[in-house]
Amino acid sequence: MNIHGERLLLEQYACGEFDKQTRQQIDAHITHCKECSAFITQISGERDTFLEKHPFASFDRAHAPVVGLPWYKTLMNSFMKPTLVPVYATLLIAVIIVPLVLREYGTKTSVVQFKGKTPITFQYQRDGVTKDGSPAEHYRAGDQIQIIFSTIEKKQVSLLSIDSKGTVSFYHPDNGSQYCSVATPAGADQQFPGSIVLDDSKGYELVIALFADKPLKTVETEKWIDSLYKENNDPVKINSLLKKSSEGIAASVSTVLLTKE
Amino acid sequence: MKPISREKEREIRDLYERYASMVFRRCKMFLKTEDDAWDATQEVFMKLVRSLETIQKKDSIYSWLLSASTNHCISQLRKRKFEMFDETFHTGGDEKGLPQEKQMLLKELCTHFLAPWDEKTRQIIIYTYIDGYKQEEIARLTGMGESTIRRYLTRFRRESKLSPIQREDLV
Repeated sequence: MNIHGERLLLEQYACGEFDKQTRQQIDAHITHCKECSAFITQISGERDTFLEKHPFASFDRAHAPVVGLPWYKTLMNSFMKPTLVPVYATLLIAVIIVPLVLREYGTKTSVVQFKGKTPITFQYQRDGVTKDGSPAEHYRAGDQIQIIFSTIEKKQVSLLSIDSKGTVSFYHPDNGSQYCSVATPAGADQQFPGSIVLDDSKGYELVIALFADKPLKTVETEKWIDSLYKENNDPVKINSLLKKSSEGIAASVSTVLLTKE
Repeated sequence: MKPISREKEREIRDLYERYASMVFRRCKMFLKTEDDAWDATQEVFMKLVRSLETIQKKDSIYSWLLSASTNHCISQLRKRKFEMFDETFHTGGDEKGLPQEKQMLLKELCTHFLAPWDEKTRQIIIYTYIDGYKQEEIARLTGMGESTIRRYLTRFRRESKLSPIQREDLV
């Protein structure tokens, strides 16, 4: 490495730059080179003069005041480093997004598909005419079903239906929330607002009303109906088993089995 | 202002004691008066303090400061009115440093010829014609290859509207 007369190199050296090996090389050169040694001395002298006139304290007025930080701010600063952003992002995903995704998809299987946000009631309407429904009647695509129910005391009610293909529809005001039931007062002829329009799938549509003392958890209810369908695979069969199988889920269960043309 | 920790304070003090005189010398070369140079030194150091997180350990602080102080001073000079600048230059005759012809060249470069050029070109021109650094040294300072620096210089000579005499000075 050429050192002699390299002003820039010598200035950088005087500022304390370079690795150990390079500094040793420059040290070796300036010990026997009067010219370069004088240059280093000159720079050091200039620096001393400058620092005498403008000590670090005089620079203080231009930058932030030095204060001892309280412990909580020091702790906070140690957590507010840009290098920790990926860690925070991962934690955010783990804590917030994953449970949301699991709640949305994790409890559902390929066998049963959940659909529907429309509340239903306990009657049916066809071609603009509302009629009392009967399980003996055959229903068509486009029929609007309203289910009327009554309870002798205040209950939580959840309405859902399952068709022959295993498609489950939940009908409660806020599908996707933690709970899938709504509070209903005691009395006859209670009904949910709105209606459900039957789709063109053939076979049976089993409408289930679950009544419970406490709000019904969506995840548990979905798991229950899912396992029921997996084991029985038929709305008629499920209908016959519902009363027993709903123990632990709801206090009572009422069903309407509709036949679709 | 945001308070800084004692550890950072020590780091800034160390940097100041090592490099501030170099920055001051540089600023004085451009701005001529001690007051202006001191103001500029502090501003450049403030930039350094703010940029410490982004400057990598392998980077030379010297190179960074040289570049920052050059850019800062060029920008300061361009802000001034030409008359003021001219006056400053001619009253600075007792200052050590650049010979008069180089001072004139520096004035011309900063106020006129370097204005339309990008930051990299401006640095290379100043390092070459004012500081007298070799291309090898400029390559080390800027992190560019020597051939790239030659290309910048050639382009500047060809495209800048220098008078034939000035061009001769630069070639």
